Amino acid sequence: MKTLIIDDERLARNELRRLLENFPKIQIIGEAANADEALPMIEELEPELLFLDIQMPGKNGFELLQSIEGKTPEVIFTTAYDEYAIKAFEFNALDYLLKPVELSRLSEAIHRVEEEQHIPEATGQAAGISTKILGENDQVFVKDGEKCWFVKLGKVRLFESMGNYVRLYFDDQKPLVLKSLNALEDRLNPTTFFRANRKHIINLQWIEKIEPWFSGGLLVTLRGGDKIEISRRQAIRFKDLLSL
Amino acid sequence: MSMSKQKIYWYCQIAGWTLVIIVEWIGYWLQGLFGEEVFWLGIANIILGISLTHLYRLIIKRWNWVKLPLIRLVPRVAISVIVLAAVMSAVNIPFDKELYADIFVNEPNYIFGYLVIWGKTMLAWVLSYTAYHYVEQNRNDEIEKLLLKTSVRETEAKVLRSQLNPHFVFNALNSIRALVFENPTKAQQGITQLSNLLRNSLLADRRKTVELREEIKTVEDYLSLEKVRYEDRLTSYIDLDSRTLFWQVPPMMLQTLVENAIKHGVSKAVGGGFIDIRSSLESDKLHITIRNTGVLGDKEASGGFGLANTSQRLDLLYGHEAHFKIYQENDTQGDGPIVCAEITIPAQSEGMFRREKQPLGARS
Repeated sequence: MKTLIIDDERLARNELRRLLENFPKIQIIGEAANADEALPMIEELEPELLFLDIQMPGKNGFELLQSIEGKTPEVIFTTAYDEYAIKAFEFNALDYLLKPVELSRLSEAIHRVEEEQHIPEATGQAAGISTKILGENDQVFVKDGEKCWFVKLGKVRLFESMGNYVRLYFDDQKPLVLKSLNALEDRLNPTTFFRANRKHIINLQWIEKIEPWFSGGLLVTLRGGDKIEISRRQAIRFKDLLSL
Repeated sequence: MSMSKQKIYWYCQIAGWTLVIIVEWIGYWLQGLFGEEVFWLGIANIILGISLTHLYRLIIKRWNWVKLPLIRLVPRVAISVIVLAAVMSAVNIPFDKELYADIFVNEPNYIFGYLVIWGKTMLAWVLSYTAYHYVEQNRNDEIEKLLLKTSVRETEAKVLRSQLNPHFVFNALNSIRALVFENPTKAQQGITQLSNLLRNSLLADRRKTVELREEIKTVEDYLSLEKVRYEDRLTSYIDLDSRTLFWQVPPMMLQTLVENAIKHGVSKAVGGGFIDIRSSLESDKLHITIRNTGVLGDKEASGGFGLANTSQRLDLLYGHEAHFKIYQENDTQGDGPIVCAEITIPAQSEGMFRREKQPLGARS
């Protein structure tokens, strides 16, 4: 597994490197001391796994993840002691290691990542048109205030535009991210994600019911009960997309 | 007011007024004047008395009289007593006149007499009620003050305990762990330095002041540990006036400021930074300057626990003679943004000795 270590301390990177020697599957393809060094490396080397320190000069670990353009690799956070960050993890099953790192904990974390990796590998490659386009098996990092999530796009049923922000709907969570719906639409795989109207993008896999609506539009009910109107113009495209 | 207090209030009202009227009935009976009219008039008086005093209670509560200072409370209570007595008299006189017309002929100042009799009863009621609440209110205030004091002390203790940032401790341990392979000698040094630091931070609770050179030793240990972590990203200079070495300073204060400077300043600069610590004597006061790479004004740093704590501790120990300020330096040399912190500490003041003699719990 192609792995990148991102930590601002040389000694911490060395220590982690030494610990990772115990895992032959982990192939370290590079090290970065901050976000500015890491971002181009992620773009070029396409690592499958990041070991990411949270507190770094310049962009911190969370901010680094938020500025990754393409699909986000698996991430294992490393942190010494940061109440704020640890609190952020409590909301989601994001994995993190406390420094100094215990070998058995590291082994657990790596196993978990390997399991995660096996599932999308089977179906994921077919959908990936280009690395810039995000399909249902790709995951994105979302941070809203203190909470953060790693969410598979397939689980997101609805994107709703709220001014300069977009609200994501998945499970029972509704975080806001600073992004325009148009910019998001460009990056989402159009075979899965459909622009229903000016304000909404829906996940086609989550559709439960379709009804005709006023003036040639459609009303779509998603699993979970959200009702979204498809405008007349988009309804034509919608029918094209779904019919044989 | 709780339910049980409400109940007690009503029991006292009914029992008290009934008792007053029974005593009156006995008086009438002894004089051979007790009859049906006297009985019903007594019952009416009980009801009237309860209503009037209850009204008085509502007024007290509405305008929160128990919170007033004694000087303003007394005239209000006095006037209330007179008004209450006047109402009771005004109701009773016409009935009594009807019942015992012959007695009134012999009593020219009967109005005054009525006022005095009812006034006494009302005064007893008002005094006991007001006094009870006055005392209770004061006791509640006292309890509140005590609670506040304990919470303040707890926070103070917490501040002291949290002086050595856990983030730093664990990072240092991680670096030392890496050094065990790379450079065992340096790893040994690191462990010694970290234990010195931990020891000093634990001792800080027990000592009011330490000599500046001891504090600087702590800072040096701290800085060399941070240098293990940051390597060439951290440069430090320490320049002390030899006359200041034995000056007494609050323990861990300089250390906290240096830690702040690293945490919020140097560690945030991608290209690294410096910290520069100087001491001097200026008009018989110790003057310490800490300059470091950094930008002041991100709310974490300026509103932070460390800085507020520093001001507070100096104030507690030395009063207005000590000063602490932190500001952004004008960028003149072009080597990036610099934050400067300055502390002025007088020689041990009288205030300090006074505090020292008092046992810890007796501070008030």
